[in-house]
Amino acid sequence: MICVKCKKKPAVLQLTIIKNGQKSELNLCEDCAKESVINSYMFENLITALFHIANEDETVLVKADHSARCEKCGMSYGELNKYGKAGCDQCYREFSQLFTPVVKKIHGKSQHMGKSIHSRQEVMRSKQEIVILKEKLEEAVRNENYEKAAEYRDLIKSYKQ
Amino acid sequence: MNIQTKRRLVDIAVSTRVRLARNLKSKPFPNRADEEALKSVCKDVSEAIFESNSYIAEEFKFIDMNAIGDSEKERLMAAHLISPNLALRSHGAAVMVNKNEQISILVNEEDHIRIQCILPGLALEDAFETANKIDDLIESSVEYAFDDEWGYLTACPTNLGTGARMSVMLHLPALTLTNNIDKMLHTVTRCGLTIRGIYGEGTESMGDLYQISNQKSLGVKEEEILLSVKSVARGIIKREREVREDLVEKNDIAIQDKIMRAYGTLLYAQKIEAKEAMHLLSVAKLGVDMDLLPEANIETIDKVIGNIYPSLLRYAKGIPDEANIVDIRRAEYIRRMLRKNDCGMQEVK
Ligand SMILES: [Zn+2]
Ligand SMILES: [Zn+2]
Repeated sequence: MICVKCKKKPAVLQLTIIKNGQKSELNLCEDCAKESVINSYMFENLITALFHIANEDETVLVKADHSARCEKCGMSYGELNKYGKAGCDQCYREFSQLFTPVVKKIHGKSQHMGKSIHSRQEVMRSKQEIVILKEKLEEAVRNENYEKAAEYRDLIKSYKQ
Repeated sequence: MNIQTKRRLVDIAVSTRVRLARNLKSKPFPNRADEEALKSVCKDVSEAIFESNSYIAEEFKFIDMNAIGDSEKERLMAAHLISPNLALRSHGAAVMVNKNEQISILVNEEDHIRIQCILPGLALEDAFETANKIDDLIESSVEYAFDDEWGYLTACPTNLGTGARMSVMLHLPALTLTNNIDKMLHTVTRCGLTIRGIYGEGTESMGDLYQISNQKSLGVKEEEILLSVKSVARGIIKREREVREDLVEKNDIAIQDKIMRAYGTLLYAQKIEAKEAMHLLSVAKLGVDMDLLPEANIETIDKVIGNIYPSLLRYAKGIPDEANIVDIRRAEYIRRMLRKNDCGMQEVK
């Protein structure tokens, strides 16, 4: 099922909104769900929790749609969340919302550094160089070495072009 | 550095392992792949090796997990060439092993490809260089799953990025005996590495063997991982050596008693569990190193350690050994080996 709002990502959450005794249901992707209704609620694990959010005049029940699946390997959001392992390379893209905080938590970083496949070497070199320059820039700013900082900033700009 | 200290350095660092996890872009990861896909992965990877023009092609042999029996699986596992996980796969799993059994390429374990190099002692540079070369060779004929942000895509997010795990196995009897292990564990963890006893469950160890390895693989370059594991390993080795020297110097009777008693138990026990045997043999090794057991021989002890492991396959399958019989046989074997050695020594005299 596709998210009714962005019509792009798989709908992984079913929101049941009860307002003035009227019940309506919305199937949303994680992004849109966060944006639209429950942006003030922080939760790490969307799937296992059943949210009962009482606003002033409405109740929102958030339920995971365990049937959202990766097209390539058939992995469902529910399965993925349970086992914690991707079924194929595509899972990482399909379910990036689930993986992003996990990856960050495990590795503390989000940009790969080091060896890369042949066809991406050029791109990766500049990507990684930018990461290094940004770190240097931050350090220069911390040390109040603004001249150096400006140098790094310009270098970063030149890489990004 | 004199010969004595050099030997000890090798003794403490038992082995080094570097592994790189890779997946093919074309197929789902092994856990989500059907038999046909798994077979096709086997074919692609084996062709990448065997149809290359590299000298490497002649070095390797291909072993289908379905084509070998439990005893061969057992042997490969004991040599750390395959994992229990690979041995237990019902279909589509294979391993390519080189002649001197230092490199293995596991196909369809958790990831399509796991390139692994194991070397004796502390040899991270050599092990990494070797694994890296194999990686280049395979990549020249397949397309890897790769993401600009998350690097090499692996089934488990813990292996993303470089897909590299670098580990060193250390034998730390003196640190264990003097209750300094916990402190060590703490240091290792603080450096962002993990330490675990062999047989894996938490930090419980068998035979005072510990494996330290990197925990993070994303956002750090291979060389950085290598350096951090190396420097921490070196630090622990140094500490273990200091404690051993200290023990010799202090001439501590309680410690000596423990060591002699360990050897005595090995010589006379009538039944012994693998875990206890491993522990006592480890202590005996320390005794030899401290010149407390002139009649014992380090090669014999190492050989015994290598042969008394409980069945790894049974362990992986969760089947307990027939404890009593095995324990009695184990004790018999140890007695015979260690005493044979005594006789040998006397003959030499
Ligand atoms: Zn959406
Ligand atoms: Zn998938």
